[in-house]
Amino acid sequence: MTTTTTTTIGKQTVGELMTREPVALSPQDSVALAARLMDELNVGALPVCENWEVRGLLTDRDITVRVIAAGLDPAATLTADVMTDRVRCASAHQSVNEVLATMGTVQIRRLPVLDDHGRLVGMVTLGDLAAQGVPGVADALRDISTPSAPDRPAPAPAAPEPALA
Amino acid sequence: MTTIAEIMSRDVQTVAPEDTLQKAAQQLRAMDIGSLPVTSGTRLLGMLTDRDITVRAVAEGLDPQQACVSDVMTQQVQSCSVDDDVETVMQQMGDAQLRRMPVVNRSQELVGIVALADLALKSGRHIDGTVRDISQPG
Repeated sequence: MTTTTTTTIGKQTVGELMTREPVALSPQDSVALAARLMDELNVGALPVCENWEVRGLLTDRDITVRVIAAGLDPAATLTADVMTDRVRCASAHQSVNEVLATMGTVQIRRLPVLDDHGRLVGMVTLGDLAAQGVPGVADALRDISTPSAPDRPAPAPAAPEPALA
Repeated sequence: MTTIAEIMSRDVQTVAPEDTLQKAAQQLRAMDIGSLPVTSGTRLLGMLTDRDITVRAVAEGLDPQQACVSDVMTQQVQSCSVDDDVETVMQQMGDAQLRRMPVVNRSQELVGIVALADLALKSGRHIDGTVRDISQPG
């Protein structure tokens, strides 16, 4: 950890704080393989790429609701069929503050990070930012967390993530 | 001092240990939440999450229409008491890396559930520390 103060952490780029050497799925990988990979890597989400260009994101929630709840066979279902295919991504040059604001606004807690050529170079999660002591993480988490009582006024439900800008 | 009883939700949806994973997944989908307490009557047996289904059933090739909740749930449940104060529970959720925690009464019966969002809404202090503790990088 560098000696930067908390006020300057927010101005660092996500390229400096992201998880590097990301593992990505292929759209043709089965959901069963994706689940084994999530187990092995101890993650809840994986980017889906072709030639390191992001085609989508697959989460353990997608597997639970779009495959298991739907009665589909994970071994016979492709990642491409159940992933979210419009994925908001961050640029490695964006500031942490900007990415945190995006997470709160669009209600997601992880973003693939792209280089100048639009290729995947990392993942940044709310957890990464929290671990680095970035202020404002609590606000972002509150924006994307659902309270325990369904009948309580809640934040707007998470919309499908907009297309890559 | 604010106790958990004052901010928890008493309307707790639960799932049974003998329910199939497909049925449990449909319940998670319908309720738009990521975890459910597993109960037998009012007795808390465990918690079931999207992750449990994914890594303990799908990754292992279990049939979701045959396997049941008790096969994959987490049995060692971190719970809190109605009498606990909010600060204590926030610390506990941070240590255990949980976003939702069931609440039990003095007889160990499930009486409510508290989510990190509830704590965030009601107490603005020390949230960043808790979030840091429960959020795993990557």
